[in-house]
Amino acid sequence: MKVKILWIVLIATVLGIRFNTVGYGQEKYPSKPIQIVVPFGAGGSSDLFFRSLTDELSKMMKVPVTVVDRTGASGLVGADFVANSKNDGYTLLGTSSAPITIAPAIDPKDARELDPLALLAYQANLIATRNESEFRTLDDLVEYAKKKPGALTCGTSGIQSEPYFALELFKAAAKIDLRHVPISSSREGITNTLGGHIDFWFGSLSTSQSLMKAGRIRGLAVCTERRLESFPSIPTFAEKNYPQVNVNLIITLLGPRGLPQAVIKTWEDVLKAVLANPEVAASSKRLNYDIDLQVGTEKLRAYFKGEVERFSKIAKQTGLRK
Amino acid sequence: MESFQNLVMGLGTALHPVNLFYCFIGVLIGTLTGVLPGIGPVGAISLLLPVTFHVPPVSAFIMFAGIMYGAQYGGSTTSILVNIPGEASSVITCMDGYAMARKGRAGPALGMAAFASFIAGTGTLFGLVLIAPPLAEFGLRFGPPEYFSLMVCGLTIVVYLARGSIAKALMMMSFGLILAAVGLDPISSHPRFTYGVLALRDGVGLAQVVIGLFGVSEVLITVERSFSRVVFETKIKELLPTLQDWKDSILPVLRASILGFFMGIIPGISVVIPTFVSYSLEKKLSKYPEKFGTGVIEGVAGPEAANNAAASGTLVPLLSLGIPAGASSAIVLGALMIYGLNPGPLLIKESPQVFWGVIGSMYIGNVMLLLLNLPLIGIWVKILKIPYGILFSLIILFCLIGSYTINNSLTDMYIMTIFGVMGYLMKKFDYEATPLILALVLGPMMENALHRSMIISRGGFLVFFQRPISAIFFGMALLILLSSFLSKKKLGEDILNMEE
Repeated sequence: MKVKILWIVLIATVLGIRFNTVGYGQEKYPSKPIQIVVPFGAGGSSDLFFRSLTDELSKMMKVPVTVVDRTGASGLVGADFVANSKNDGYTLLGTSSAPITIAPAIDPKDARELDPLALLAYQANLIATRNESEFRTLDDLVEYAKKKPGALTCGTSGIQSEPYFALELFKAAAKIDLRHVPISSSREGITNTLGGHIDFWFGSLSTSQSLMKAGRIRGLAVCTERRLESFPSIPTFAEKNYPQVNVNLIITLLGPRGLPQAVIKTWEDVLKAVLANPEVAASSKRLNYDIDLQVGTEKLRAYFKGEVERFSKIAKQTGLRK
Repeated sequence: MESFQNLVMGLGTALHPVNLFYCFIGVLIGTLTGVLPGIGPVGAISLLLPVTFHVPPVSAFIMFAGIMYGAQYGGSTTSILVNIPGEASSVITCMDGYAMARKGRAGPALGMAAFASFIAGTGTLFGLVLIAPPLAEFGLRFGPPEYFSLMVCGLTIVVYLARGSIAKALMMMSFGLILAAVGLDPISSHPRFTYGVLALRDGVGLAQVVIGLFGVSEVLITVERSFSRVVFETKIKELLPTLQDWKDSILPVLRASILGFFMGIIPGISVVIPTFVSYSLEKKLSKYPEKFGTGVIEGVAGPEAANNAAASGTLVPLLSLGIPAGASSAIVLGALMIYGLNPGPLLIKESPQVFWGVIGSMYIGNVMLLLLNLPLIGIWVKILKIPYGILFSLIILFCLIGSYTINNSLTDMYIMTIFGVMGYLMKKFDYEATPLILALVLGPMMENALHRSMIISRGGFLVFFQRPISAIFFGMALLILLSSFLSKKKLGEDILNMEE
């Protein structure tokens, strides 16, 4: 008798849960505000990118979409927070790819369980020098560095950053030696370049863009596939026969592992619509980002895995990873 | 003289009713963020950013600028009243400001802080308009070796910060430098002293330490003394500075304005360091240096002028090179990009209305801040009459909220609490917190500068003496040390006294 009751209760509970989840699933996905956690400081380039999107996203989702900054440990604090959040699609991670691809390449313990939703946009990384510099082209740099190995210095915002890996790839491809000067604040980095304290600066477009327009800084080569619309005179690394130097700043949106299919589908549709909006494209352009939407969780997971492997190899070669 | 015509045009833009409104909102929010510990202008601006997308860029920019310099006014208020710096740039104001409040002179201290900020804020704007471009080029000559020697020079002023024992001050400074080493190594990114805590990888945050060491410890120590006693036994005398106060303060204010402005020009030097330097300078020049720390008005006037002057100084590289000096100006610049403006050397040419409008609004904003702050003094002073139980619970509450909001992180709250207890012990055993704060500000910059200098010079220490600016700073550091050791022999006596 007791066993029977137990069974009934059990079945009822299971059914209850099932009904519950079905009921939940049928409830349209965004039914409360969505939080995009940006793991970098307010006013930083990924923060501004997502903030410029929130209006359009809120309109399409019909719920408020807000940006919250959780900074620390080169983006890991935010990634950690989202990985440990409920996987209901109301807490997402909006970031440049460094915490996803670079941090685990340096230390596998820093990998976090996340489901990629989309790559949204990219910003070019480039190597630049001050206008007074004797190095007018990338060839000048390579030629001099071959003659005097280790005589030249190049700054990046540190080994946790995309440009550092681009620099290492360039050094390996051109078989040259440049002394790396890590300067975590790109503002200080560009000031040091202007003052001639370091010879080159490898960094993202937004740090040097206005100074290049004013003719104070000269770009030598960009990491993008094609030349930049805003600076068509700067060649790409690929043109100079270093196609492997193609590490740019990629903006991506991820969620905790195990996002419901409905959430993934909703985001793919909404992002497609929002990023196709010419106004959004224009405002991204102003922030030096080019829209390039790529979706498909499995495909992106494979892409990230490939990047981590590629960066791990560099990290091992340079002794960053023991 | 073209600059002056532009400035007049800018004032015209700023006087437009809509812009006046945004300016007022900006300085009001700025004052509030300055008063509340932990909540800084960076947070306020980023919160308001999306709201302003539909506002004309000039107005939005005017408001942001108002928040930035308004915070410098508000920061001193809590320093003086309850010994909790609202911003790191008001840490030094605690020393004499709070001592003045305890003597019943909170009014003059608050008043002088507002006047000094006003004089420095408006005076340095003229310097900004007239000589910005050549100065910015000078700032570029500061490379890593120059920074390192400047930081070394900065550390030596600790001998002027000590109120009591110099030996104890040096111990606190060393402890601050050790704390500054927490976090990722700047070159190899290996974690140091992080014990697996993610949040510690960026080091121990300045704001958390300041709130703990000053705010929480103050509450603990007063509670211990006696719960029933009134906070300030002496009656609150005057509300505004007296003629004698003005006589004592006017030279320090002018000196600090010039000093702060020039230090602000060097990119990367925050508004915090000039306040320490100004305080030390005034103590050195004073006829009664022993009274510093017991409530002399120069100790409030100098540093408060210095932080406002430095805030205008930081606009120099921003103006002529488009390089923001700190986090808050970086956000404002980022916001400009969203509006489709081009932050950088070309901003003045391409959008003169925005640029000069903001500069013009800064004159008006400073007047507004003075008018806003003077009547507030009466209200602030009344806070001191709130019963202990309520006032202290509120202070602890704000300390907790403030430390949480920095990064939305609980770890920061724990750090703040730990430093609160530590600050309490330090006060009991007469160890001062200011040298620790100085070291915590300078430490990371110093380490970075040393590392970079070594990479650039390939390990040669001579680089510090071969470069003229760097050599001058080392010379100054040596002078400061020698003068204090030789003339007073205080350190030696001190150590002897301790052994007894």
